[in-house]
Amino acid sequence: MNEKRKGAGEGFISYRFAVAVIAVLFGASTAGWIATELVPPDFLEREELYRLAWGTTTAKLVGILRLYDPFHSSWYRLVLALFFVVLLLCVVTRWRRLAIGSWRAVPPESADELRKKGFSFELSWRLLESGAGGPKDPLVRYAEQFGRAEHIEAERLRGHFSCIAALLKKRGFSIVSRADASGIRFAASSGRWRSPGTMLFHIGVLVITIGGVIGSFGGWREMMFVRVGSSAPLPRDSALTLRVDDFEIVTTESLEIKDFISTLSILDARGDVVVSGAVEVNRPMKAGRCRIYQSEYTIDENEFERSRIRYSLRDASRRGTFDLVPGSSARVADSTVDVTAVRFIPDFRMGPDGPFSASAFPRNPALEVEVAYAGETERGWLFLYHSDFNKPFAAPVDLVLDRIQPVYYTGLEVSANPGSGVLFVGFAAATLGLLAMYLCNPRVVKGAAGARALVVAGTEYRWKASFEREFAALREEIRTEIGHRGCS
Amino acid sequence: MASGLDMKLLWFSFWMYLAAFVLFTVYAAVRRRGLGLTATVVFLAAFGLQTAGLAARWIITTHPPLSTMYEYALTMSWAVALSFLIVMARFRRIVLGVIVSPVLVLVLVIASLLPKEASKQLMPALQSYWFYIHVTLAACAEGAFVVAAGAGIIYLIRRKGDGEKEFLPSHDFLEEIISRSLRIGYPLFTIGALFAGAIWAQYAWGSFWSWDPKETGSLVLWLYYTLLLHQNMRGAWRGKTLAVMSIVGLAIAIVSFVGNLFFGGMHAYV
Repeated sequence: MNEKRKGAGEGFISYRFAVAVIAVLFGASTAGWIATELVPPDFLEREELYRLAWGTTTAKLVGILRLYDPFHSSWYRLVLALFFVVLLLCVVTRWRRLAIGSWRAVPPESADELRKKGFSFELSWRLLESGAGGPKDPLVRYAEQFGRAEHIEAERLRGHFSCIAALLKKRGFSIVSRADASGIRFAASSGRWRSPGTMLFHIGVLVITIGGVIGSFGGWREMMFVRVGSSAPLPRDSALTLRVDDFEIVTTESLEIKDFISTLSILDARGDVVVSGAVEVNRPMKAGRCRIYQSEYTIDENEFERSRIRYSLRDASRRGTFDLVPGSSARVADSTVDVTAVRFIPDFRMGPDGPFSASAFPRNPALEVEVAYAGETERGWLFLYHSDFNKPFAAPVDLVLDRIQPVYYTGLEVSANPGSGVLFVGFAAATLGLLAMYLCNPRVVKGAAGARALVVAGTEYRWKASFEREFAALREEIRTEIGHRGCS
Repeated sequence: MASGLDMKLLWFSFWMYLAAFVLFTVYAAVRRRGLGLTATVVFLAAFGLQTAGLAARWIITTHPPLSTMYEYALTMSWAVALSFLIVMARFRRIVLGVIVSPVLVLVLVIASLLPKEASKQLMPALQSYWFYIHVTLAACAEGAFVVAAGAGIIYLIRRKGDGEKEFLPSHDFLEEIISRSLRIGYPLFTIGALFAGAIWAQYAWGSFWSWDPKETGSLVLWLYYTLLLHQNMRGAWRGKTLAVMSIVGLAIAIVSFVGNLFFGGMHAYV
């Protein structure tokens, strides 16, 4: 029974199962990605309409699976939870091997285990000591071919080993060795930070997931539009009030938007300023438990601060200016012409259904006015930047829009995320782990220097082709070094 | 500097890449060393022109060429060309140009269909150093994925067992190129596209993650390459499967790259 349980436990945290869970998460995320494009987010509000269009079964399925918002559905959360649990179990069950076990390579038990490896070579000391001429020496060849014993004494063996160790150290390997009656067995390793890096990356992903969950359940974000000069309570914090002191759209000479800047004051219950400052895009402000972000802005088409209109009375040849505020009328000098502001459009465009604003940015401000004269009224548009298009009125007056100040509502996003600190820790851990994983080139070379021969094998490597080259070069270096220089 | 200089340089580089592609193809067929060297020189000239074109655009717009999809495609193709030159210098395999040069031509053709207006002013949300980290690393990562897919295509078209007669690199070599490209692209993508993107989103929009279509596309792509690397490490996806999967990865990357043109969302920059 225990064996069965152990087997099931191992199966749950096996590499194969972990890969299967990643595949499931990939499939679920892809399905969610596609669903968000196919199912409109307003499905719930217009469910009846979609039921008629798609049929009852499809609409019901969309509702049950929450395909209008799949990433907050229970099925996707279930997959995420499964991913989290498997990742946690993988980390818990493998940390000893990855973080500590692989830190130092262990010398081989015997030369036999090295001979089975893909990258290995065995050279007799006689061959090595004979140098470059060795392969051509018939005596050496005979010894190699028929395994004629050519034992060397312990002192020479130690000398050869120190020579090999020096070569490996020059290549960045650290060496662990064990000496006994059968000779010296050693393990040389390099790039050992990779395994702890792997562990750190997985821990980082776990921490990011935890931070995401904390933020998802404990965090909030709300959008607020506040008129310049007015105040509004900070969402979810009844003690604080936000006041917009100023709002500015910074533009280039060609009217390209550079930045939006809101000057804000946060007031406590007594009306005292707790904190004040400017909020720009990418530069949020901290207030209490939340942060305030400059998100966007808008203009109410029916509002503007004030407008200044230049007039020219045709019959009297008189000119001047008068101010107009929304909804009010003004008499042009001492004439009988009355002008009323009807509608303001910040970025005037003419569409099939009449004028509309292309954006909230005052790129082409236009004011619709109603002119009353001699019992007749007529309406027309006055353009700030294109006065040629102003309506010529039947009344004996020409009007030009001289200035208009829109009323801005700054769009501020207020949010709090208790998981943000956790997320930053996770990003840092995962990044460090990734760097260690991918910058380190782990290789392990093991060897057994016996009385008769040297057996060396590459037991771990990352890049097969480059390790093959390095291993071949190492073989040649050992031959050259022992043969020519006589390390011993 | 004339505002059209960048366009002219980039236009010339496109034709040079096309010429390099033709030369690499002929070289692959006839295997004349001189032809291979000529193709390499033409490719280097194209790369030089592209570098000059990008530098000119940088000077004209006063910001690195990363703010529009056109500029992103140019930078990504530049990263691909640079990767190819590094690989070629390291492994001396001119024939890889047969795949890299048409991929570059294709990316540049796609780029030419995108709006090319050079704006001096970055939109407010893009005025952050995170923008440069995020977009540069993502472009380099996707460049590495393009190289992996290119090697994957050669792997598939290379005939097995032709040995000496086969002019294309060996399957082992190609597998290592795929593997290395993925292992370069993956950390760059994870750190650049996901982590740096999330941190920047927190500063710009007040939320690390908004399930925006582009963000979801990046997550899907990351999960795909996570799966691919895990399978590769456990020895399940090797050889032909690895080659096919690297090509599939590029297809997902392309959908994720152009997705914002169709899906909209917060990354709807063109």
